[in-house]
Amino acid sequence: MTNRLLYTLFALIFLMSVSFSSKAQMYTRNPFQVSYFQPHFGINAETYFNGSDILFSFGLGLEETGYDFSASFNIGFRPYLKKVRFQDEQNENLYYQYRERITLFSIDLEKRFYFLEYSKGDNINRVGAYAKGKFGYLYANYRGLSESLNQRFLIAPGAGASWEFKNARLSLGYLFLDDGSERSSNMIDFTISLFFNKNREE
Amino acid sequence: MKSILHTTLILSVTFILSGCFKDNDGEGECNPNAVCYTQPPETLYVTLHLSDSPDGSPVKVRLYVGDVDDGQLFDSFTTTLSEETYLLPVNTDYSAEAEYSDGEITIIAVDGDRLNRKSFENCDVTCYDYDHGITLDLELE
Repeated sequence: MTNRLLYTLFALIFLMSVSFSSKAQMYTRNPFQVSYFQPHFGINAETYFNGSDILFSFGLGLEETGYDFSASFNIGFRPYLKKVRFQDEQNENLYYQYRERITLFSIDLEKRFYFLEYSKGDNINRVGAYAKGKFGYLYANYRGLSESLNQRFLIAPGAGASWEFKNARLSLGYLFLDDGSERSSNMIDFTISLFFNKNREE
Repeated sequence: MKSILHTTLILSVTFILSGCFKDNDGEGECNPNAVCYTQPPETLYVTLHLSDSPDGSPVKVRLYVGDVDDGQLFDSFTTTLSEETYLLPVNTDYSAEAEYSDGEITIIAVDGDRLNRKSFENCDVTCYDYDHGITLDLELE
């Protein structure tokens, strides 16, 4: 199921890139090819969601377009209060329902592997895949309680498709976010990234 | 395409962040016919929203000044109504528990909030909203 989803995403990205650049000539590219170190300041906006939850995240940090990696500090949050239930540890017939707010502070590390490249005017656009990890601290607070019932360090891995333009990148893929609850950890992850002072690649 | 992405990102950030700011109704307006209470209220409404208990039994409710785990019990009662309202002092945290029964299963719904005054500016005068209050959502999900 996951492989089929990834193949579908790659096909969609490929078709979209060709449709936007009907006159562009597309080249295959060695995904492990690197250039020289080219750091830029970058910002990103992200949403990760599944059928029962959605979170937004904003970050800023390093975008590197020679070795194709990025590192950013992100703050993610659920934009609404969600009702959640916890079973009492001592009494299996007793449940507590709270209104939960989540905040996730994370360092996001991402490496991209581009295997398609095409020129559009003076710019070189690239299509490929990414692998990422969110290394962070999740804090949940509950209205009416003085203490948090759920705060933890976590690592959330993810992967998907990436489409890079001159100063921007779209990424769509999968994120595994285990917040320690019984809710599904499988999420769709969509990110828009902007990087600054990127010159035309030689 | 690049400008579309830039615009989309800026609009997304603006839209999301706009929800973080409090809505200050009537800021900058001047309506001399508007009702304006210049005296800040000392008490406002706290409303509890309740569900029906799954097994039809009355719901046990406890209201606290502060949080439920370290606050002071203010009131305790049993009800079959879907809404209960209190007039309580402002600038204070309130929380409540509603205990529902479903056979052998007991579910305790918890919610809390801070009761603050709400004001707006009208003709350079600070006016207070005496209808403002907080709602504690104790309905079962």
